[in-house]
Amino acid sequence: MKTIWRVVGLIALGALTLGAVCIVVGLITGGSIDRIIDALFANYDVDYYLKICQQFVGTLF
Amino acid sequence: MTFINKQRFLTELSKFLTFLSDDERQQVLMKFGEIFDAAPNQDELLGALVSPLKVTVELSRAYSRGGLQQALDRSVELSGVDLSAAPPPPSPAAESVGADIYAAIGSAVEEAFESAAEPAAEPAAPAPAESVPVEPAEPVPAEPIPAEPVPAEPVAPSPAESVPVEPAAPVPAESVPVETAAPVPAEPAVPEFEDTEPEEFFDEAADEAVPQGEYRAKPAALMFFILLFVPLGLVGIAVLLCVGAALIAVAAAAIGSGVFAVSLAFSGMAVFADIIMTIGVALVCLAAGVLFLWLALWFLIRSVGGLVRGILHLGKKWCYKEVSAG
Repeated sequence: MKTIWRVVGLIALGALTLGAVCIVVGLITGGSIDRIIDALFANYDVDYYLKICQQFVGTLF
Repeated sequence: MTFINKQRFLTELSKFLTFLSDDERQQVLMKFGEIFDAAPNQDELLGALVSPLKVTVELSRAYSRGGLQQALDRSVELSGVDLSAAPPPPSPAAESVGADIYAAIGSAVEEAFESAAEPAAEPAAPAPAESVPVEPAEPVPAEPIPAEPVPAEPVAPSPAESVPVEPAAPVPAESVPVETAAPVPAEPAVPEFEDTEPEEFFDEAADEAVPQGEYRAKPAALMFFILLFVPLGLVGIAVLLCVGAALIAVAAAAIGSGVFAVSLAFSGMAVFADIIMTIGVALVCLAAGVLFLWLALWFLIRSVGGLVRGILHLGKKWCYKEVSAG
């Protein structure tokens, strides 16, 4: 168990660190969160997925 | 000084020759005794032999090739001493001195063994050779050996202290070429392996010593326990499974979001900085997903298993009573 915890922790920590570095580098080089959100809504029907999630939560509670 | 070196050489050699039987080891030591006696200069002989360990390696190879005779021949080859040109047989007094060499070796190792067995005892005093009973076979009056008193080496700094040695049975006088009626103590056999582990960890008798009782069920308590704790246990397991499933759902959502972000980065982005940022978000989501996934599995294994074990332990404690076997 300890070995698995160590391996999973190392993988997660490495990915987290790399992701944080990528975000910081993207922000430094002129990245924009608003542009990313616009691209997301333009390429995918996010409202449809949000509606599905709301229905699922409504059936549970 | 030379005599001391010879004695030490033979003592060390006798410790290394563990691959030989007692008789064979005794023969090899006697052969080396003859070689030392025939050598014109014992310092040169000790230099030619280099060390007891090297001699042991050579003897081991020769012994594996051709047995004891090959090892004896190899001993002569290593020494470079021509035994055929050896001086005539020594006088009875000299024989006694030669026998004393082996007796002194044996007594030195015995003292080392005794001092190791008695840690509180003081370091062994040098044992004079006169203490070794040597009686000539012929009715010639036995002469003490004043010429060269053979002091046994103080065994305090000897490495033999750290190795408990057990003296072997004395070799009959017929097997010793030196004509003396006194039994020559055989070289002590060094135990190859000594089990120093406490026996209670491996001894089954220790387990048998623990009284084993029988358990007898209490029917009323058992019925009550089954009626009460089986439903409660099932409910508890269901709750734990739900918590585990929620954790797995979170992990799946995080991993799905990461995959989704990666696909978005390579499909709908035009600016490099935005692509880098999206990949960073994807990596963070994947890291969280892996962490939650393993957390869910660990939680399920530990919580459900612990709950079942706890219920069984409680049932054994409440519903069974121990009855002594006797």
